[in-house]
Amino acid sequence: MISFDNVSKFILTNVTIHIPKGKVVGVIGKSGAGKTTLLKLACGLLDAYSGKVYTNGMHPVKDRKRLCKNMRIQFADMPCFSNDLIVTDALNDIRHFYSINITEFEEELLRLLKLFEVEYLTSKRISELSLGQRRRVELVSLLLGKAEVYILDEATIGLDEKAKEALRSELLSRKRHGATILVSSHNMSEIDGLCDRIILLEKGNIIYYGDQEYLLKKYAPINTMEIIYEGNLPDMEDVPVMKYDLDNHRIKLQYNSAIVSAAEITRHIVGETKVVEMCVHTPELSDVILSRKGQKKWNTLLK
Amino acid sequence: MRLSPYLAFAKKSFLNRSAYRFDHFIGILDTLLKIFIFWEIYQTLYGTRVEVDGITLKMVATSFVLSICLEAIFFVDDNYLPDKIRDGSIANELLRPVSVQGRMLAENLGTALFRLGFHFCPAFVISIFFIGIEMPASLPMLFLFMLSSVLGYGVLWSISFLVQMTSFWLMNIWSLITIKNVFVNVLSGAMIPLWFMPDWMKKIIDFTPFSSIYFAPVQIYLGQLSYDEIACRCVLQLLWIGIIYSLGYSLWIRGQRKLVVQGG
Repeated sequence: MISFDNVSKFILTNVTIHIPKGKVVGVIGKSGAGKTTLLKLACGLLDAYSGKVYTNGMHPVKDRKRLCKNMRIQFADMPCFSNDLIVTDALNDIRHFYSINITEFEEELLRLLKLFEVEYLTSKRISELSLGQRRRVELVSLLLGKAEVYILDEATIGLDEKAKEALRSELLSRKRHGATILVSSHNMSEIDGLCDRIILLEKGNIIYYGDQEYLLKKYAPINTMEIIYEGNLPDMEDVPVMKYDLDNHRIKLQYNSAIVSAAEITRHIVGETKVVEMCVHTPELSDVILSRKGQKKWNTLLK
Repeated sequence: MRLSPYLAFAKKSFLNRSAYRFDHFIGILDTLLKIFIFWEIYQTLYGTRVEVDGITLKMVATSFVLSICLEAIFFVDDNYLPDKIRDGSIANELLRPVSVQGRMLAENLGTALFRLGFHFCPAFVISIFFIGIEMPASLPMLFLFMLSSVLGYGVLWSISFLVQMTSFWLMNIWSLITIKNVFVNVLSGAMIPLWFMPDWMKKIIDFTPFSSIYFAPVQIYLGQLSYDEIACRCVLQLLWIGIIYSLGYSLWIRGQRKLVVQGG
């Protein structure tokens, strides 16, 4: 459980938010919107100018040593290990930090090393690792042992699809065990399907806090439909679409899902011509940010 | 406070040391070289004289052999915290349920223990063999020497801790560390036994923590101090540890404050 009560720090102004136990919350926003500040406040690396922060019922700065027994953090801009350590030693330190039972630890370590495909790196030095390799080792160290709060900043930087999937499944299993997880990312599609709730930050203000579907409807209502037809050119004048492109038996159109549904449009077109194929693209989380910037994402829409 | 993580860190540091064999042998060579250079210098200085100011050549030899050998054990990594503060990993350390300075002490002690066995002992035996130093004054004095040496390490460690803490505010503390090392080397009697210092200098040195590091144990070893004086010295050593560590600790608290307010 993490709660912010009227908190101000750096760019963040009067942030009030409550994150219940056992939820995965994604923090999204442009660079400089205050994502990392929010996370650092939650784990006690920053102290708020005003307002109150509670993580697991504790003051994260004053009770840091008590809190961090049950918390794991991972910030993209903070090195986790010193460069001259061997990977096994670095990971073994985690066992000492949290006094994890040795057999349990080794079992878990082996499983995670396999999952993130880094078992061949264990005898290397941290300084010899590439960014992606280092990130994987850091994630293994993050996931060792059990914690009640996980805080990940830019969680998916430097990870390939397989590693992202591994991270996602691991985090979801922690969530099932009641862990509260706070993840930030500027690449929204990365945390699709992981988060129960999304915090959308803009210039230090929370402009949205709620589930993902509603966020998409509210801030990115523009859907795209692509239809391949045979026969006559359909007349589109009667349908309230925003834009359409015709191209040799292929029509691409954009519509606002709040105004007109896909069903209405199809009904109209089917009435006029013979449809061979059709598909609808709904926006992704990344489109939310772009539409907030006032930029229309024509290039991807008209791909 | 759980002790087990600290023991594990000390053990790891001990074992890590044994991995660097070349460094280790060069270290022993370095210690022996220093001892023999001092030996040659003092032999020449003494010439045919038996004693200077009531101090025999053998006592001087005992003094610098002990100081230099203790120096080999008294390991403190002066860059431990500055490195972590510079690269930002200090933030990660703060969020581990283990005290940062406790871990630093544990790792330093692990290394010190390794050096006691595999650096001090061989160098000391070779020195006894070739130079011939005084035997400890008595068995109780030998134990008190050990006790005082441990406290001396405490003083040295606290001084280093205090200096390292300034790296929260200073970009580069290399020069501070160098100055500290010069003070420790000259004023602690590691280079020139404090008997040979001018009287006014001795008085000043008595007001600094440096003579508590090497010179107090050496004097005890030689049996120059009565039990009352030894008790007095040990209390002084403890006092210095307390004072310097508290100063360092208050900087540590302020440094953390600075981190959480300014964000590093």
